[in-house]
Amino acid sequence: MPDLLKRIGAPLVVAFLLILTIISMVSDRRPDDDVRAALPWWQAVVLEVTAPIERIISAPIDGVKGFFTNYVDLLSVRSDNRRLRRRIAEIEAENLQFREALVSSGHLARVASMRDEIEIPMLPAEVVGLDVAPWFRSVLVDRGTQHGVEPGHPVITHKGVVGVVTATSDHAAKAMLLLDRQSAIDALVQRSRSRGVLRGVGRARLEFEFVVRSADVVVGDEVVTSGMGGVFPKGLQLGRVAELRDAGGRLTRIAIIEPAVDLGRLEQVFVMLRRGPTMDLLYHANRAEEDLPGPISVSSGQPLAATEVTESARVEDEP
Amino acid sequence: MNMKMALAGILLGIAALIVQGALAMTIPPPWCPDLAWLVVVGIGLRWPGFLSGLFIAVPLGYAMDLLSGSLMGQHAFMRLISYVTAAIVSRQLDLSGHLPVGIFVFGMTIVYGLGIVATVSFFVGSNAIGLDIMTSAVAHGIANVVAAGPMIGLVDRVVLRFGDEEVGRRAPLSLHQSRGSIG
Repeated sequence: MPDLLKRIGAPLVVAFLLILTIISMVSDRRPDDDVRAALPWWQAVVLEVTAPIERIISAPIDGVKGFFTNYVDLLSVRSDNRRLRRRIAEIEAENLQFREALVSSGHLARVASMRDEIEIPMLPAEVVGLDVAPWFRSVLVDRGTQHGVEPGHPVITHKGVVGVVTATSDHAAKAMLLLDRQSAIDALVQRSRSRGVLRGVGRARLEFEFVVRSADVVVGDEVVTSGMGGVFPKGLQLGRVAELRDAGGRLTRIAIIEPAVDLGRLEQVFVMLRRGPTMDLLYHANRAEEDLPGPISVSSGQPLAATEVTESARVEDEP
Repeated sequence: MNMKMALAGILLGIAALIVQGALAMTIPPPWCPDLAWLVVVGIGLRWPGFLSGLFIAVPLGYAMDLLSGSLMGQHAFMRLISYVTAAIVSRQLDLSGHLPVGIFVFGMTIVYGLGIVATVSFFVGSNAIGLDIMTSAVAHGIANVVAAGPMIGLVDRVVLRFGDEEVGRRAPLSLHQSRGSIG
């Protein structure tokens, strides 16, 4: 018996560990809504510890990179300055004309009210680490649940969509980039409104699979979020059509998309703190309304007190 | 196998992971070597005990999963396979020189990459394995071969420093009692 145990002991342990890792993968498999739940405490601790270490280690590297970049930038600063001053003068003149036109046609008030409707609180965050494995595309940011960040929150820059938060700890969050193989976003061509799914393929470019083969799309078309997936609000910039590809015998059509954001050089991003009513219904379907998180103060990252919310609602209600 | 040696192995793996994270900020993905995986392979090739090495390789895989966009357990699964393969191969073949180790690391990197993409495809339903994956795997394999020498050298140093009397002899693999047979 001891001989038998000695012989099969190691294979049994290997088999047990293999099954354990497979169970981990199955239980962690991303559901259809493409968002994960918050991390268990022991995983959150690792994320929490790693973020500051990554920041400390990458600081000297960033410093050296910054020095060279700044030096190169300085070489052309005088000519750039002259050109930009001229351009600002032109834009100011144009801007004045547009404002005049808008005010006269009464559009300004309507545009202002529309902006208030779609405005979502955004939290600036710094990218402190990139994915350590070459087979995945994700980033580590220095904002977590303490600042109001939750799995499912979109991550953007001023140029367009970056990705979505997939895991959070108190002071850090992991965000999956558009380029990751696991990423799929409902999108549409801005010009023709043709719909499809934008998928990451693990490379620098994305694949846009159209719902119908006869979709109206040409090289150079802008692709934006459709708002149908529930994670991203409608109209966020995703990228531009770089190439059209024949999908062979498939019923759909494929376009290759150049992302709007340079995802290889991310430094500062914004986390959109609210997922919108559709997402809240999806994630908190069985929770009482009073349990749902209220508005969050962007400056402190803390939920606003009930009195503050009432105050701000009153201010908004006033003409 | 002493506790100090196991602890040193885990610390080496975690340090490799942190350095790898910093390297990833400057070196584009396929060309950035997977230092933490090389530590696991080094443990498979050089560690005196099979089971103790196994219990170092799997936690290091889970640590990688936490810092990567992978499914939890994906790297742990592939590292477990890498470790077992390295342990078995090192007991059957002479992998003491740079060239045999380089060839082994290159081959295992490709298997690792294909395994990761296949598991993502299986569990998440992403695109299947294409030519681009092979190109990335080959580039990554070259980067890993370049870094393999120093990383496996570090594992050697840990074994030499903490292994005491176990250095001169490799424990017979518990999978079998005689060479050439498994179980």
